[in-house]
Amino acid sequence: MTTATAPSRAITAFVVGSRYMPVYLAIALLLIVAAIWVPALLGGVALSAIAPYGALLAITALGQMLVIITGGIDLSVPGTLTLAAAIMVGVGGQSDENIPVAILAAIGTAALIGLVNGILIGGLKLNALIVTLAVGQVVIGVVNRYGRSFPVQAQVPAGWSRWTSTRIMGVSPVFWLGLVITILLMVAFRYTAVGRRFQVVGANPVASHVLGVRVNINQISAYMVAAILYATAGVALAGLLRSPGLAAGATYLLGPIAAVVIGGASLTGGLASPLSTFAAAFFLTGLNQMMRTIGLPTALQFVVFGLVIIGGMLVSGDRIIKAVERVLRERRRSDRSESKILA
Amino acid sequence: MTERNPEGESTTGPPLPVSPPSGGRAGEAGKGVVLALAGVSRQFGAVRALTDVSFECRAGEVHALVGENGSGKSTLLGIASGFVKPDRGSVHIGGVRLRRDSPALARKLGLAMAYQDTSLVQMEPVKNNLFLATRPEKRPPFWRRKKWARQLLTEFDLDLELFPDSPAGFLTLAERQMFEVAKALATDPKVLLLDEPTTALGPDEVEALHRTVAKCRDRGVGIVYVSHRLPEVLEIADRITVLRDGRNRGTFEARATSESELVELIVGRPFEAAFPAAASRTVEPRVVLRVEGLQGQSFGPLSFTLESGEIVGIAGAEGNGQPQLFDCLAGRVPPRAGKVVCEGTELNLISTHEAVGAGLMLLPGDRKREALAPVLGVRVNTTVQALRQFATLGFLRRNAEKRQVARLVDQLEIRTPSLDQPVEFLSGGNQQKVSVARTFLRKPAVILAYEPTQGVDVGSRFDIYQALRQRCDGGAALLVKSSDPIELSGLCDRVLVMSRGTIVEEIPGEDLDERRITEAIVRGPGLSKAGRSPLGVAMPTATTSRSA
Repeated sequence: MTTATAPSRAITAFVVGSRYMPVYLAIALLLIVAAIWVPALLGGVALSAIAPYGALLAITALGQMLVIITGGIDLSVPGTLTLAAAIMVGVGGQSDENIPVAILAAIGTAALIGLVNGILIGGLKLNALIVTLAVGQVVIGVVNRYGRSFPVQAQVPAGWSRWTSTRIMGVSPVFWLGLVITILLMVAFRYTAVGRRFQVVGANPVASHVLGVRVNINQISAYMVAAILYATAGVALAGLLRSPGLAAGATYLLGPIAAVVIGGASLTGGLASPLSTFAAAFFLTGLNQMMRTIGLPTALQFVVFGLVIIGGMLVSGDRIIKAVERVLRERRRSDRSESKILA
Repeated sequence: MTERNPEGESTTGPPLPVSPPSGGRAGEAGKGVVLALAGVSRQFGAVRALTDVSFECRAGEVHALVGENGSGKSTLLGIASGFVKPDRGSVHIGGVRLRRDSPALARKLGLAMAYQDTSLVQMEPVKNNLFLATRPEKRPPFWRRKKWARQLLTEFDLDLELFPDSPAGFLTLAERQMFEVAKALATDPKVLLLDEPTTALGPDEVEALHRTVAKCRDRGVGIVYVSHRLPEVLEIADRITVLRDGRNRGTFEARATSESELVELIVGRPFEAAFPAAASRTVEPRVVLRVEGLQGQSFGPLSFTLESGEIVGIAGAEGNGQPQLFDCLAGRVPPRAGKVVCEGTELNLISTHEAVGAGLMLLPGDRKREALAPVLGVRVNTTVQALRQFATLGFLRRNAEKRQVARLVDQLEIRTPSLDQPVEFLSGGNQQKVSVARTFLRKPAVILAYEPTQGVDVGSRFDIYQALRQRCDGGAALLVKSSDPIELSGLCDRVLVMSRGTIVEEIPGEDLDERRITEAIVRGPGLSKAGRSPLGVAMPTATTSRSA
């Protein structure tokens, strides 16, 4: 009944935290490479130009993260995001008075999309991949029809685009929005009962059901909150682009998923860190920017981006933790055999 | 009596009491031995499933293998059929050594096995299933398979109303079991392994199956017949081998032995486990759970009551409706009929949330899948059902939580390096303690413990018994399902024996010992008609013979 051979508390903390390490190493590596090759990228101007776009990716990635924690995946991101941006133009009607209504309309519509996703997946237990892809398709159809109801050159209300391009402490307010959302999620997971239950549902829905936790409601709200986050990003993107067009969200399909995975989330659910997802989003944005600054051909940019995501998957999350676990188990086994010899 | 093992390994095991394997080379000696296992051992983690077991089956005999749940029968079959690799020892099939743990090779050497859980392609017709199961060189031309199938089924006197064209999924449980045997026989084996072939069968079907078995024996097939039902075993077997705790306790001529002798051997281990004393009841006993006429997919109708401060055991052979009963009480699967009242409130039994809220907590047997979030820490897992106690306006008081969990870790002696250690890295015993610790926080009125010490090391068992007893002394009522009669007799205040999905016997505290429980189990009848019918509906005649 002794606990002499048990690994120390620090090792536990290391094992638990190890899955979130690679993204920070990757950022460090990116910074080093940038400092050598493209020092201009690390200047204040370049960084403040990246910040809002990194934050947009982070916000969508955080939504995707909520879904991935439940063991699902959401491919309706581009549709939802584009629709929210279009609503900013359509409902906004180029008048500053309409900004609050437009934002509420965008977020409300997104919540509805999330609810549909959630009910189909969390309630009716359909496959998340196909359901969200199909729902995204429907939404894109709606966007196309809706986009024809106002002129192509229509812009978001001027006040809104002005606000997104202001600077708060030298950085776009979109960046601070992303940071606040990240911190809110961190607090929710760490300090609230709702966040805790949500994590348990993600880690093992079957057990959660046995334990009397309402699994469906948790899953449905994951899709809803996620959709609201996509819409938030869409609304902000509309402000940045002024005239978002009907393909504004197209690039937000793979990016958020990549950020979540590189951020160390477990694709089987339950484990993810808002902070490292946020960091991963900035890593990917920074990488993208660097490739552009270096002047890589667009085709090559796509290839490199894809390879980095595959590389990220190779060294992150579940694989890291498995490797660490294996090392620990070997150690424990040798400990045990030693103690047997002593006995 | 100990003979030097021909393989030269593992001669340290205790002597076999009766008829050790015939001397010389296990495979060749003893003319007509079609299956010979010599000195086989196998360990799973910390559990020694088999220790130096030797076993042989001759051509043209039915050799029964009996023992309790967990005595090593399934492992022995697994090794014989090449699914499980023995740590040491050898397997010979038809005189040829099985060099690798390969089921395909075992089949090639002439071994066939009828599986307990059926291995059918549900949507395909019977004839195609049979065709698929047969080795290519023994298959008829594809277009003649229907005629071939019908011929084969009648040849073995399989008294089935089988239509070769009907999908295999339409067969009843009993028919599927028979069909498994037919499939095994289609390969024209030298030795046939039957793993609990009668679990799903009623008396008539057992008789039919035994006719088939007898026919195979007369054709010179060696048959290994695993069962826990002694009356059936004594009827069909030529020789009987008893396994207990992974050791061979002797092989006997069926004619020269009796049921009570066998029970003695199956049970007769020294009393090793320690149990906490049933405290003199400090709480005024009152009924906390009343179950009336509860009926579900494969159990019932059954009625019983639980009083506060008592531990009631559920005994019975596997597959008699125990897991379904527990799932139903926990609100996981709604019942067909009946009423459950917990602490005065009648439950709808359609939601686990409601059941937990009403004070019914299930400790599932399959911990990794159904009880724990393996990747999350001890603290998170322990408090998940009691978060309200630690929350103010939805925000957790983390220090209070940590203190409580640390106290429970101490009290239950959960061995973990840190409160945030993911539970997947804990041993089975400590995982179960985490599961039990939840009941200390939530303090439910009724605890349903399904196999509370399955996969738990001996050291932790007592801690778990003690923890359960503590909950009980604190006023909870416990319902414990266990397949271990020792555990039931040591832990429980009374035991209900389940068979055919209903309670067939109640053993009161004063009569409670493992022998009494084992006797009740091995003499019990088979599964209910309700369990065997594909629709799960009881036939009108089923209930008339027995009313519990």
